[in-house]
Amino acid sequence: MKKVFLLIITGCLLLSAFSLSAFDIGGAIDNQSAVELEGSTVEASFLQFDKLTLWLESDIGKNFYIGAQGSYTFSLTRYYLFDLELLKFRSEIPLPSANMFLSIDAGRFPVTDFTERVLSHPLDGLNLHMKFPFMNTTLFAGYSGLLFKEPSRIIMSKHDAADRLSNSVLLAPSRLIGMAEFDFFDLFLRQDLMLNYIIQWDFTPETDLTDETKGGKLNTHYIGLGLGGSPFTNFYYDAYGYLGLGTTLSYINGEYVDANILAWMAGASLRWYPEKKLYSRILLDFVIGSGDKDNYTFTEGNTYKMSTLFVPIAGTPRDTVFTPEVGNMMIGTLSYSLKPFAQLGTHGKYFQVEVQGVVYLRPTIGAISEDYNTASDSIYVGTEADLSLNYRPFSDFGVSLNGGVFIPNTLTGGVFLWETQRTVEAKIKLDFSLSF
Amino acid sequence: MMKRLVLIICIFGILAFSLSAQENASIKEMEGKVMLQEAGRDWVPAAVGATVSMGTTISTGFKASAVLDLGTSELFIKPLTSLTLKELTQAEGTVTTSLELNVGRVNAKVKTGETLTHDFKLRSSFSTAAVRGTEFDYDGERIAALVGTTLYYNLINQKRTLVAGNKSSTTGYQTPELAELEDIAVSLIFSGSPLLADTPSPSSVPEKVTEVPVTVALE
Repeated sequence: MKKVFLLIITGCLLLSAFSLSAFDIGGAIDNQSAVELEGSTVEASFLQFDKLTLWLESDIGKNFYIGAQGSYTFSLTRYYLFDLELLKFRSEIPLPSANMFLSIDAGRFPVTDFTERVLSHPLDGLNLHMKFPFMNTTLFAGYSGLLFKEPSRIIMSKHDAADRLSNSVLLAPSRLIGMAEFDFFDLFLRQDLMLNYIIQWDFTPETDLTDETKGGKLNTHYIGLGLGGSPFTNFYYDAYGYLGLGTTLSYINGEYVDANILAWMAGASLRWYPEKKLYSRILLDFVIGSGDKDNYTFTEGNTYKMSTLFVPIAGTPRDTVFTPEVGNMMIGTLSYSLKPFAQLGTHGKYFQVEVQGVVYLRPTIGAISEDYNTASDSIYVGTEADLSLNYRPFSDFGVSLNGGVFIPNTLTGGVFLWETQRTVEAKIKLDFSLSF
Repeated sequence: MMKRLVLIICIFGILAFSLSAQENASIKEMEGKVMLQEAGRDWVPAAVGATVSMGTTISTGFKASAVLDLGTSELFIKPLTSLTLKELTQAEGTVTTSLELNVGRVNAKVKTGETLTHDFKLRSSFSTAAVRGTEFDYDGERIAALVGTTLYYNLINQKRTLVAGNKSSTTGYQTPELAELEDIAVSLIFSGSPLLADTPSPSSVPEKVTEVPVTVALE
């Protein structure tokens, strides 16, 4: 027994010494407890989400690096879920004499476009990053079909949505994604110019789509242009636009055909930081995604000529009560945050209050991503008000209490039908996180 | 004939030398323990008025600080800082100042003159700050422009133009971005492990100072 104990102690010491010299390891615990309230009779539902994340990173030689991250998630809908979130091998080739820096990533890692509205998702693939004195270039090719379905947010077609509900499907939709992004920074008047091209091929097997009611393939590509910078002190802005092209299954003149997509998305964000006024921030954000008035369903609902509904791959999800897709949606956000106790010393700076108002409209009377009243010709979807209290006394520990109320347009002829589709909804969420 | 040629060369040589005269810096103010080390010599305690010649390293201890008078510019050296004066010359109306920040933090004030122009460079293992008529805080990785315009470069010459109030940082090969106050003042919510952030791996952090050619093109 003594020998076993000594062996374990020796093993632990060796492992810790090895890990100290070769690896950086760490972890995080994230907890979310939320209550959702809805309905005229106030129905409450309780949501619980706990996630344990462990990560490891290490240099292998001078120019090689490996990083891995796995997680275990508990939620009331699924009691356990293991996921490999990241497994990245990186090779770096710094060439300072030639004013160049190259890096190649292989494995599983997050991929984002410059707006994070079209693509912001982990993928398996290869990324080539090249830096020059005047621009950065990113070339990526990857695949989504080896990710687990549960954490995946890629739901673009009717088939993807059906797979999401099926217990026999374990993996995310099969899609091949390529991206080329060019960032010309500090180009003129301290502005950055971004150009982006993303292509997405639907690799769903034909055998899964033989019955037309199961849906069709959705192939898309996107051309993006963005500008951002800080024209004045403490004032920042971003403006961007995307053109969405491709083909989607449509039901035109009584038959299923693949129709072309010609859609667009545009947005702008203005941020002002009057730092001396209790670290205030005023944010004005606006995004619009084109819709299609002859779409009666959001996925593959086109019924006339080409589809003009903008369908992104998977953007960063919004942390609000009402979370529609950007297609056929106009979202205006005004938010103000400050640190009310900033003048009371260092600890006062760790507490922040944020209030936010969001207005949702739809550009056309066609389908939106949520269940809606097809007889409505109103464009006003609803309004949301949010309050957030954040406290982070240490970089490794933070607590956040968020509350929000969404008031849908359920007036006569409104976008939603009262009770059968939507009522006033509220959400209170407590989130704490600890990293080690 | 040969003697005359040598004489002409000598005269031009002396003229050229006088045109690019080497300047000396001096300690203007100091507080606490401040040490000086000339190249190849031992450390000696600094004193107010002490001359700091080229190649000299200045080091400040805990709660110690010093103000280095560089003629047309001034450097406030904060506690626990070590820096080396690499060049301080004046030629054809241009004052060239080059300092290497080994560790710590400094505040630089480069005065704008009517007759002189400045080529002021502050280098570290990660970046170069190049300025003309400005004031900034710099710790080798992070910079905060306080007055005027500062050009901030990483090791592959990627540039970010900073005006008063702007902050930026680089770990060497990372593109210097404009750090919005959001990064400091607003984002209090934890967003997962550091691996998911697009930060360069430790291997991309250079070990040696790399000389970076810098072009200053500011008024």
